[in-house]
Amino acid sequence: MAERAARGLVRAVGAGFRYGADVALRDLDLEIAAGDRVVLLGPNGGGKSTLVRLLLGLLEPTEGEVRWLRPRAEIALGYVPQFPAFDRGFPIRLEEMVRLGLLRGRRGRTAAGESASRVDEVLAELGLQALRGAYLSELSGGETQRALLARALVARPQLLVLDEPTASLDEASRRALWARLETLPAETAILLVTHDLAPGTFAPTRALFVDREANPFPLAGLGSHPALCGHGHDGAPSR
Amino acid sequence: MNELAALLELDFFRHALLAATLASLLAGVVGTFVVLKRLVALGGGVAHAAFGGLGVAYWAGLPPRLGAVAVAALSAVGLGLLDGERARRQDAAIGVIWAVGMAIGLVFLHWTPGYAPNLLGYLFGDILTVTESDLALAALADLLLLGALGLGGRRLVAVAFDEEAARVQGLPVRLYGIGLLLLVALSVVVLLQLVGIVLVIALLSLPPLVARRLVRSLAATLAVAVGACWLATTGGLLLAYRFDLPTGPAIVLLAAALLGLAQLVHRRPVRRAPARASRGSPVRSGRNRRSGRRA
Repeated sequence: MAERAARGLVRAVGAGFRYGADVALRDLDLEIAAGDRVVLLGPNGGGKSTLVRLLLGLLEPTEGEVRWLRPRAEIALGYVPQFPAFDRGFPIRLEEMVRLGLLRGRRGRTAAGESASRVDEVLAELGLQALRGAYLSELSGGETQRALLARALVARPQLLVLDEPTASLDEASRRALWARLETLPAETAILLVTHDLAPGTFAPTRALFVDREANPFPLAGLGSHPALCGHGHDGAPSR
Repeated sequence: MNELAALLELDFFRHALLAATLASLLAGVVGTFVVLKRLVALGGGVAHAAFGGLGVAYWAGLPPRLGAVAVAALSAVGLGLLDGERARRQDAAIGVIWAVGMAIGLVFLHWTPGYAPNLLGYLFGDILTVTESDLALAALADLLLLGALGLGGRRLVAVAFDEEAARVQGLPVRLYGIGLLLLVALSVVVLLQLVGIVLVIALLSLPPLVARRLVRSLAATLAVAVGACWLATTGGLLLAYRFDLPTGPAIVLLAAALLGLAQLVHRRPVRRAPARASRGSPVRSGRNRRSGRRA
């Protein structure tokens, strides 16, 4: 228990969020620690992305609290959003975008040499070398998704948050993504939102069912992984 | 040529050229971020709100520029705090400060005894009347801009590109956002001497739009925007002299003509991007695809 506490990254206690009068999420109790592999399942509009945005600090909870368990500046986060917030017409090349992912806090600069080699490394891992000079407006949806993953991975995140990362990917790219996640250091925590949890893809240590009609609750039966494939409804909720 | 040499002998003309050069750096760089961040309407609101500050300062016997700086900075930061989910409120707030700023300025102008020619100069600008203190303010603003870019240029780009990602990375997004808005406010105050409050937003938007049609990288966009702004301001100044036109509108119309030319050049045949040529897939943006069919 004490060991897990030492590995803790972020904790939500009774957290909820309302968009005006609409309840998007309520009574969320969740802690993510180093090495956790958590998958969020649930219907469209169920509040999964809201949960992610609360944990990342992009939304302030309207109820309860979300707090970092280590100084925020010490936690490197990687985030692949479901819908990128940037303008695809922004005059920036893929390589430059990935390099921006190395920026951290007010200080925490990365040495220029290290940053160049790290960017090269990530672009190579994700098969993006040929696209490094391309502008974002020239990328397809799948290529943009891979570029976002590269930006999320470049700073060696302790918590990697992936919101529907396979939505625009073809089958080969999906397999490459799952394989890449397997190679991440064991201490990297991953929070995944997906509708694409087929056997042999991503092996979560925990699954959470999120639906705005009910409080988020854990799903049992992770050992029988295929049971989660029906978006969690058949996953024998353990409430 | 002799006519130009004779013009350069005149102090006021040399001042005007220097003002155009100093202001072009500011307008080109800040304007590029204004266009990329879609802050053009906000810039217009701040410029018109500044008129209220001018009017009040003029009525109170204070330097009008001081009132403009204070109100421009306050309104820019105030509008900037209404971001994100409150974007609709920001849009409405821009309309409010735009109209109320102008109304306050006009009321205080009305209450000020006598005629206030300088204040009307602020409305439509007159680059030929710049003083040494105007030049000092423009130089100071340029120094602040260069300092800000030197200290946090990459972070400013990160925030301008993707505010959400910057926040996740722990960058001080609000600090950089407010810093950018203060630069917008400062630019407005410097530029209003050249083209006036009514036309100031043109200098913050037209040169970057010209650049966006001619080049692709951010560094080139910034450089070309500065160059286009310099061309418009100095060229407009000469046109105004040659054809006896008001300088502010001459500058803005020349900038608009440059945009028209850039738009024509922009419809060029497709170029292949070397980065992707290696995998046998030509890079074509949607716009280039259209121009490709025309070619």
